[in-house]
Amino acid sequence: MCVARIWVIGLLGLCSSAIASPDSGSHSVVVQGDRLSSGSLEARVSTQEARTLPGLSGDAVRAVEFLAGVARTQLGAGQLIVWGAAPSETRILWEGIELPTLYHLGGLRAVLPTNMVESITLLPAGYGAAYGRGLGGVLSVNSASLPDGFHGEVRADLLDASAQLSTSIGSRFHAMLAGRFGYVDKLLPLLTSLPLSDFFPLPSFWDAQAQVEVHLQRRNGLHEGLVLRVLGVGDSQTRIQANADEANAQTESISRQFFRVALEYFRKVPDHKTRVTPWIGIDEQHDSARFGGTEARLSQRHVRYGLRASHSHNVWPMLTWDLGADVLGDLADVQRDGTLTRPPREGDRRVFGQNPGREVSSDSFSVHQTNLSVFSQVLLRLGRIRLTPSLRAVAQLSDVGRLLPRIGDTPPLGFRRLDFALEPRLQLRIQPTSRLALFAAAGLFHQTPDPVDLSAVFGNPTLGPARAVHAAVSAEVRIAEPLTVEMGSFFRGLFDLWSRSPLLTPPLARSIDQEGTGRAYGGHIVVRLFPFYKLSGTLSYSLSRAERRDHPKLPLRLADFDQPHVLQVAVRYVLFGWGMGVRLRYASGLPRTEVIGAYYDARDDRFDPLFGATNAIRLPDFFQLDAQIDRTFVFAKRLRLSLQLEVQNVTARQNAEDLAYRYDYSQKAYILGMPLMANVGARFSF
Amino acid sequence: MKYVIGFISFLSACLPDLGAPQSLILGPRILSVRSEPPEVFPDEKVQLSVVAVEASGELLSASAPVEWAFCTSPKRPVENNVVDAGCLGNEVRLLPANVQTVSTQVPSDACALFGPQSPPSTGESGTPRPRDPDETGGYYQPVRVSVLGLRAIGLIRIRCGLASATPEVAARFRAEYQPNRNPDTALLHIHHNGQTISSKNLPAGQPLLLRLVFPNSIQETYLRFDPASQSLAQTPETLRTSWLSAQGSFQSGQTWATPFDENNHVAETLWTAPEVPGSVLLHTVLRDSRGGVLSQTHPVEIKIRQSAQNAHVGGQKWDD
Repeated sequence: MCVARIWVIGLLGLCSSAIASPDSGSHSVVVQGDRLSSGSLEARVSTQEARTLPGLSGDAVRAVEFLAGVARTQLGAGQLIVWGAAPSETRILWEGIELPTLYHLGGLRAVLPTNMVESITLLPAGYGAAYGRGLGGVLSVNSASLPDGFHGEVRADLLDASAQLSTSIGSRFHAMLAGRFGYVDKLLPLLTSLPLSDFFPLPSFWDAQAQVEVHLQRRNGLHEGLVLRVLGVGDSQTRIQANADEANAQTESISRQFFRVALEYFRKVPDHKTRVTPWIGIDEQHDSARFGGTEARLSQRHVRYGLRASHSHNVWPMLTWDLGADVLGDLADVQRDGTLTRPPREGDRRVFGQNPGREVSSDSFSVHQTNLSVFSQVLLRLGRIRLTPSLRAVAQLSDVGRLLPRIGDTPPLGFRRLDFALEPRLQLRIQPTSRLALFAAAGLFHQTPDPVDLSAVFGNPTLGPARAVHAAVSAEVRIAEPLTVEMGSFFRGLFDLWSRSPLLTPPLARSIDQEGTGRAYGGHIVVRLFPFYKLSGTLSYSLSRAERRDHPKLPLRLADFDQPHVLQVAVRYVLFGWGMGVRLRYASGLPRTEVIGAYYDARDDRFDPLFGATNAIRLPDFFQLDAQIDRTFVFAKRLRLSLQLEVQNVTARQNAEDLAYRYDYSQKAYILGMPLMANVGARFSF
Repeated sequence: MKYVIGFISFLSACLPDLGAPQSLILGPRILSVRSEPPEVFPDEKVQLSVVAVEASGELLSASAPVEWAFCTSPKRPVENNVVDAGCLGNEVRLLPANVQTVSTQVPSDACALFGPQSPPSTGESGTPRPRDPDETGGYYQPVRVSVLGLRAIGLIRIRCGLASATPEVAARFRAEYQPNRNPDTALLHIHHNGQTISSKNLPAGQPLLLRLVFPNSIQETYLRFDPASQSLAQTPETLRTSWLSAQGSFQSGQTWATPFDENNHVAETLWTAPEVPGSVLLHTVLRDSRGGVLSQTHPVEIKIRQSAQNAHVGGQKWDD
């Protein structure tokens, strides 16, 4: 009997236990919401808090996974699902600079190392006009300022090694250089005799950072300076789905790199703050897949540029006015060959390991998208009420090199589209008593299409922006000094979504149309216990639903990322200097489309599935318990050695990550995720 | 300055057991659907035949009723399956014959429904999107076959010309393109411990190397249009073999064909013979990448005693 050797992509998460950079002096695992900032629903996590969270392999940026309303994704997917929004609908910003992804391939590590990050801020919905371009939320990663003096840190673990050096010259000049190299794809095969390359999509990754700060003036409340930031990220991953039948073996490879260079000018004086950040970057990604005799390739090269400028003025004690501009440009060259169904889109009906169709196409085209936004925001402090109306005006230019598929030597005819939009937003915060705060927010949002979707062959060059309406309310009660409870509810309506044409014969260059709608709604409750006799903890529970309708004539269906129940509990206790933490996660299984039959494709000697209603069944619920123990030893004034032991999936529960089917779809079985795993490590810094 | 000790405590197998492989025949099975000739213009005549087996691995009796139908519904461009679901329902045109081999005429609208010619208007604004070819540049008229309660889709490659080429390239393509031919001969050789053995005396429970050998002429070259470069190129077919039996087990049930010597190609796999002596049918289906098919059945005898006699098995061809 042949055992189908099938692993879900990203199963390398099996090896994802790691060494963090714990600080036993930190007693808290309270994932906080900072209610005093301009956003009414934002949640912020400091690096200090995030380091102690179990199950994150010491990666502070991944603490976003702890926040209420953030769904669990498939193991190894490396995606961020915020309040029912698809991953591509949430923007990732690093000091205002747009990043294409939060995670390295495999989802084991964030692309920004913990040492560079001061805090992360999640704006799940209804945020102010300073941000846009996304139908979902915004994740903002804030960099740490460089310290005075000479500092360094080295660390390594089963996944990667990193080093960082920073220095200062006087009080005006600071510089930092850091890098990380992932070697799990090389190390893991040495630790086991299993033919891992057949089973695991072992990721290879690196990232490097540099930061230079020049403080031009720093006196009498005036702080003026320049910050140069450089980031480079590279990933590659290959998944081989071994098959007893050599003619049916499947291989998928992804390789990507992106770079960012930004120069920030800032000036802060009492009642005034100015910040201007121009940046430029290059993104490259190459995807290739081979399914038996069928190949698919997608290569993208983007030159992205942007400018973010903002000025904040405290006009009166009760009024602050923010004014800014936000520019993002994208010069994309896209080469795509193969089937239309690879890569898959949200809502596609497919099963794990299914061969794509045999029909192939080819397209090579360029796109230039420019998004110019100006925004204005007013913060009114009226006693216990804070009202923040804001407005964002958007001009979006899309210039596509080819309107129709290439026919013979006909010269290409391009297509240009200019869209204007106004995005009003409103946030309200009322604090009736010192123990109770109420919040409400609403707004209109737009998102421009992915350049890859503007192909005349594979997509539709005439696609315009999609729209979303957000509304959210929240309340926070401080029950006792160390204990708070927060409850909230949200609704997100989606319009003009891009989806595959449902027609058997769509018009030329209209394989994707824009008649989709959707909605996501739900609520959450968060209980936070701030350090109380060295005990701290957070409990969060989200109840939500995300639905999509791809075409007005099609029925409403669950979104691929719908996850009704998400429960997370994290508790930490410090005993004699040793920090001990546990984390429990429970989440509904992700939706899947049921296979209700099959027939034989005699041409390719394979069976094709017949599907039931889209996303009408679910994977079993997910449950995982993680634990860690850590301690930091201080040998001298600045020499610190941190040790950590982390165990993931303590109960060794066999969670289902996906469904696999027999060749004729007559039987199915679950692809199981991470078994029990443990790791121990250390970090040295000075 | 830094050390780390890492260990993975458990690397449990996460592989689901999905039962018997495709190469093991456990129930009635359709093995192949063949068109002779395999590539024609619309309105031309073809002979269609199906090869199916009972649960025992025996070939289907000639009297078993077979339903044939041409699909009339094209599939969406983003459909992974070989046909639209309508072809499994009522979007078909039934053929009058009820036997395993039928002669019929390819529908005249095949190139519009399933090829590069402008599809019938759907009422939507804009020019309808023509179908995409497969990786060999081919378009296919689907045929539905129903037998023994099973359904299968066979494809007839249709000659429709090029839709997105310059007139010069299209004219050259019309003039030089050679239509596909079905593979017509292949011999099965069985080896044990490096020696060729007789098919009438195979050792029970032993791994045997099965080699399907066929002349190089089976692998045709064809003119293929590359839309990216807008050029034509001679491309060799790829060939693969499906191996099936109701007994024993194959190491690989579908294998690629590779050059064997200067005159022949070969497809090979390992087959572990059943422990029980007796007669066994081995089925092979040789497919080329343009839709050509050769289905053969090879009777073999399993014996307890090993033998090293030289022999080869001439396959009984069922597609003619």
